[in-house]
Amino acid sequence: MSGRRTSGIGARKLVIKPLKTKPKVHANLEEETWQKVARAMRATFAEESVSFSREELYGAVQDICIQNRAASLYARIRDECAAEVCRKVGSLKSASSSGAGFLQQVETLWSQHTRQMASIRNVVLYLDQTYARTTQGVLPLWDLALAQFRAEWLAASDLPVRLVDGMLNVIQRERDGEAVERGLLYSLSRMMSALRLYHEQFEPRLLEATEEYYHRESERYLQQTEVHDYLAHCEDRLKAEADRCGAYLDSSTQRVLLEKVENQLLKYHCDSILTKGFDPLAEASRLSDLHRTYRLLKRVDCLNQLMASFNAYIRRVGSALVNDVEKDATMVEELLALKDKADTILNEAFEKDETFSKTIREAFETFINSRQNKPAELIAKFVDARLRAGNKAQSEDELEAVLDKIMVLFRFINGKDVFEAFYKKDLAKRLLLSKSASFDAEKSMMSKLKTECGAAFTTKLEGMFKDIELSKEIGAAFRDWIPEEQQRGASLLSVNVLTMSFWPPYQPTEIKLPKQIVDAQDAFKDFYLKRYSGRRLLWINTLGHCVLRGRFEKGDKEFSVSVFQAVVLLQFNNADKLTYREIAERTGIEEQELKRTLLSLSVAKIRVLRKHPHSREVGVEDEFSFNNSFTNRLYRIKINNIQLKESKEEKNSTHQRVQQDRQVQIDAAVVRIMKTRRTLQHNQLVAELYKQLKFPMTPQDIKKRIESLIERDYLERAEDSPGTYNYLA
Amino acid sequence: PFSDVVRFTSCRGCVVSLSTDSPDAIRAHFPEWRKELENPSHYKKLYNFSFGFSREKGHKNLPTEVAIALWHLFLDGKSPHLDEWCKFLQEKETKTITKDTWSLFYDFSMQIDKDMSNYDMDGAWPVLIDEFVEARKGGTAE
Repeated sequence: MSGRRTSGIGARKLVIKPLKTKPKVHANLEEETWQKVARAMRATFAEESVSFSREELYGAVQDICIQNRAASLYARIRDECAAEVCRKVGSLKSASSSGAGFLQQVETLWSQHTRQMASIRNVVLYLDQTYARTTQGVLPLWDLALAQFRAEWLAASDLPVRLVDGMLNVIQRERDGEAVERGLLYSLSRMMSALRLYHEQFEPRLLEATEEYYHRESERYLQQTEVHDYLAHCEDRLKAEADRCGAYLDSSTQRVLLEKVENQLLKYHCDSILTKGFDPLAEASRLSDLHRTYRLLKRVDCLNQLMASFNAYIRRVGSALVNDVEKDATMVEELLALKDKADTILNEAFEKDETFSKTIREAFETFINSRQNKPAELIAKFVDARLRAGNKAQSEDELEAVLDKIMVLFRFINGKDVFEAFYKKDLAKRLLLSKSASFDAEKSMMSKLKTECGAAFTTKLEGMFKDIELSKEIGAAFRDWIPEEQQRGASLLSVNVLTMSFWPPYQPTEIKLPKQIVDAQDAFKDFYLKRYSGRRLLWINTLGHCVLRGRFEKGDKEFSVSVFQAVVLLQFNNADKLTYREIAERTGIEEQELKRTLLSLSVAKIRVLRKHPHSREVGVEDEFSFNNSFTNRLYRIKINNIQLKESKEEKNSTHQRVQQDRQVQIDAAVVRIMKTRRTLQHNQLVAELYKQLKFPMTPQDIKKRIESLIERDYLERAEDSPGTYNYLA
Repeated sequence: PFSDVVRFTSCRGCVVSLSTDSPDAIRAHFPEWRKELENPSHYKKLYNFSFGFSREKGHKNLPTEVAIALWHLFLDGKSPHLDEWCKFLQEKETKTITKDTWSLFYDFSMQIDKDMSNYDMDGAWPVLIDEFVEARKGGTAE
């Protein structure tokens, strides 16, 4: 380089003159350099040490490039590499073809070559960077190495196939449980990626082999193993495959591969897995197995099938529960248990999945209504038992929890009016016989019912409570009102005044009461009607109970009895022995009721009377006598459990009442609708009724009511169109 | 008796002032009346009227035997269901027939095929006819 420079004052000028003659380029420089490079390359390829220093080589190459002779040097390097690759690959062709040995050979060759090429590249780095990388159509050395190897490899008849075969074979062995050389596979996998052969040649065959493998395995296993074991096995397999992908396969393979495995093991067998295995798991509440099922089926998008199995299971078990008449006594407990079980499975195995929660509700609603009326009645009875005194079962919190669960069941029932009728009847009994365990519990239950049934229902219940409260006040006022002399009579009587519309329907019954009681009743009536004019009082003696003192040989006893029982017993104040007919005549009690009463006094646990003959049935020829030798370890004895027990007739009559009430409601609704709409077609009327009425109705039920209304001239059929009704004002 | 015949006439809306009381004069009207009966809507009116006409005083419904006799009178040859219907009623020991059932049986006879394939169980037909169809369908299925 030459150049002029000027510098500051006093600086000496430095002048560099160009060379007079160009330096002679060593004519053989190129050839000499090539020889050096070639020798270095061959030595590298032969794994021998190189005699020249690296710097020397590096510099030589650099000189060549500077001289613009890079192209031909490159070409010679390229050819030398090509020859080497050809030799290497050729050596493999004749190599042994057995699996592991072959793979190892390939791997060794490959790692050697890559190492060697890297080394060579470093030597001719200058060439690589300044020429190869910058010139169009010329590959950088590393890429050149790959391209050459690839080309040679692909041309090498069956080598590519043998390699893939070998790799797949190793993978299969590992799947079969053998320990294999993972490092080897890793290297080969990287090799294939580098050569752009991984996705082209290896992966497709890997996926195919995987499918085939798991297809066979699933068929075999499903037949031989229990479902829960099978699922555990699937989970293990999936984990192992994921691990394998991470260990020696390309990361891009994982998703596709796992999908294939999932499909073969799970998705295609989903139905048989569930058919064979779901019910036993659910039955035994095997939560972790069920959770596994959920997890695995979620992966293959088969949750709908799982949900269907769950639904079918609940319906099957629930339906059997509900429809087995022999098991009515335990139906409610078992329903609660079933709901608990379903909820536990939902929360712990099905991850609180909302759609599964919905399916539980749907299943319950279906099977609980597969039997009309009885479930509602039994639930009401269950609640009654829990709210009654003497129920030792639970603490306040436990009771609260049980009632909440009951309400959940209740919500599923379509004919809620049946429950309401029984609940009201039982509540009435509890109130009238002072049998409520806890006022708070009653109130709590009422507020739950208010939410479910609406205020219309609970207003009546609240009315019942108020009547009882009010009756206490009235009773106190009554006692104050009675003049001193008659106090004793008045104190006999404790009256509950029931507002008719709130309470269940009661009928007055025939009975000849003793004078004392009649006088006391009349006195009360006087008092009451003076206080509240414009009202009518009806004595319902079936609901009454009293305490009698009985004098026996071995001592006095007090008896808590029903009015009927009392009236019968009082007859024996005048006679030691009476025939059935005499008792019937003197008490005026109706036959069936009288028989029941007599049985309760003579044949049941507490035998205050003796029955002749001592059979279990009362015949009209029977005789009864006072049992003077009666004893009991208690002083105060209850015999009034008749009132608390519900007879079959009572139950039937309650059911009947509900049905009749429904008919009335249908009639009222039809009239209401027709009054507004004037003219309606049959289907429209029916649709409107289903909208307005909340209890189950059949089309026949509705038709019968319509016909009845036609007969009573509320409606008529349109003259030219009998399927249309007109309102008759 | 004449009084019956006069009522009969007035039901058809035929304003015939029958001031004559001679049987021959009335008989003279017969051809004209017979022709009227060929009109289906008149026939139906007559049919419906005969229900009320045949009732006992103070009763709402018609005894089944009377209804059956009337049905034969009106619908013999006209209803494909007549014989089976009467048989059904006798088997069921139905005591009385309501006006609604009487009236709708006419429509039933006119509209519903012998094999009852076009009968809609959920339609507005009276329950007694529903039961008839169900009994008959059950029978043919066996």
